[in-house]
This record gives sequence, structure tokens and C-alpha cells, in this order.
Amino acid sequence: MSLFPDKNTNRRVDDLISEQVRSVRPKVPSLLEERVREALQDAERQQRLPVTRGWRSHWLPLSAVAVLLLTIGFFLFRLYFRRAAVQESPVSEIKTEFVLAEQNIKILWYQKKNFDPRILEGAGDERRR
Amino acid sequence: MNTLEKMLTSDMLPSQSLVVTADSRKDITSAEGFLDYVSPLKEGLFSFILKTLNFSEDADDVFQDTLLRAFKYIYSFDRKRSFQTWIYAIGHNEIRQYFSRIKNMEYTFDESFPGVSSGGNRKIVQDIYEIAYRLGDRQREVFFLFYDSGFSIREIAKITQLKIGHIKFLLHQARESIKVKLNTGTGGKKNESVSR
Repeated sequence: MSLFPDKNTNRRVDDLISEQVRSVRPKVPSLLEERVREALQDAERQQRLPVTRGWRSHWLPLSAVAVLLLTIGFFLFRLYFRRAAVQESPVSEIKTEFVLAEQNIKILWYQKKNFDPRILEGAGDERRR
Repeated sequence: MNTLEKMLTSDMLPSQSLVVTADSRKDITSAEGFLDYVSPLKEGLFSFILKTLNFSEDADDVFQDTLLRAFKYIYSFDRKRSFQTWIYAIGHNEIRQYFSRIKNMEYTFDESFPGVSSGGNRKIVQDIYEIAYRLGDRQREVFFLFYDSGFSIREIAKITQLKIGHIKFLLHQARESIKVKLNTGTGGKKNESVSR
């Protein structure tokens, strides 16, 4: 026999479907209820703990300061070595030739690789020997 | 009638009385208080989640996650709103997350229901649930919110954030499928007469 016997039925289709759907009434299993209760109690305990107890409250600002110090240190380190590199760049060997053809003069200016502008020629040679 | 109503309508009290009652509900922000508050709704909520998930065992986890989330955000609940709608909206979000995790999972339709109570015809109930099983996830959710949980279309729109027109369309499709299935009679005999 059909659920919808005729067009003139007083019962609404939705009510009929609802009745059939609700005739299946699953219950919450007791084990699940217990599990939910324990989970909620755990959650309640977590919520009630004081805010400062967590490791985050100590380590977070400390790690931020550490990162800041490392960043500053990194930039200072790079700055120092850049200056040192500029100061200690080796002097190249230079050769320059001047020719005065009319007077048959040739001037050769030669700078050695180990030339150090900070040391005077006479005294510096003695020190290096 | 509850105890208070019985007292007021009986001859025990004078014609003019001042009766003071206290709300003995526990604090809703405690686990026990929250469980007390949710207690009238938990069977309906569990039924909705279980049926939407096609009686899968995962419904237990989704149900637990729903209650946990509701407890966690109980402070944000606006008491001017309906608590039932609010908690079902959380259930809806948990169901959505579940479906997004198990997109490719295959369901098998299990005809062994928890049991059909009085008022239900087992064969017809199986047919209806088989049709619900074959609906899309969103449509099945709307179907059970309407036919099982008893929400109005407006309330379903608040819970699911779907438009009212869309919800009506989904319900109409489901309803027509059921009518076609059931009007063909038992055993799929299409020649059975409907009008009597």
C-alpha cells in the first residue's frame, strides 16, 4: 500500500515523511556520554589554569629579544668585515711609462705589489728586512 | 504541570501569594553546568549528526567535537539568540569539516537501523533512508534538519548559511524523489495504483 493513497489526503507529505524519519531514534551511547563528560572536564581544567603558567609566557618575549640581538649582531658583523676588507685590500702592482722623445728620456714609474702607503720608503724597507 | 504550577493552582496558598523561585541551574561555563544545559538537546543533536553521516562510526567523534567546541566558545554565545540554533550551527560546521577531510570515502548503506519505533513502517523507513543516503552531503544535511530535527526553513538558513530559496529547492527535490519511490509501491512495481 502506498504512503500517499490519494490527492485529497489531509495529512501533509512533510508530516508523513517526518513521522517516518523520526521513527528511527538513536540514543547517545553511554560510553560516548562518558567520553564527552571527561573531555569537557579536561577542557574546563585547561581554561581555569592561570595564564602565566605556560612556557609561552616566558619563552616568547625571551626568544623575541634573542632574535633582535642576533639580527643586530649579524649586521654589525657584516659591517666590520666590509671595512676590514676595504682597508686590507692588496695594493696592485702598477707600471707607468713616460716617454719624452725629444730629449730621449724615458721615465718608468713602478709600484710593487707589497707597496704600503702607510710606511715611508726608507724606514719601511728596513723594517721589512 | 510542574511543581510550581501545581502549587499555584491548588488551594494550599492564599488567593494572593508571592512565590519566589530560584534558578537552580549550574554555571553554564562549568562542564557539569554545560552538560545540564545541553541535556535536552543532545539526543536530537546526536540523531542529526548520525543520520547525516549515514550512521557512520565517525559520528561519535563529530558529536564530541561539536560539544567541545560549543563549550570552548560558550562565552561568545549571544543569549538573545536561540541556543539550539547556535549549537546546531556548530554541529553543521563540524560536519562540513568532516566531509572535507573524507572526500573520497565510500559509504555502504547499512539497512540495520537502531530500530524503528512505533509510528514507523520499516520498509517505508528503509526506502526513505536509502533515498537520503543517495542525496548529496549538503542536501542530506538539510533533509535531516527539516524532517528529523524539525527546524523551519528560516532556521535552517541560519544554521547552514544557505539561501532560503536554495533550501526549498533541495527539500523539494528530496520530497519528489521520495514520492516517486514510494508511489511505485513495494518491490518496485510501477503499475500499482496510487489513487483509491
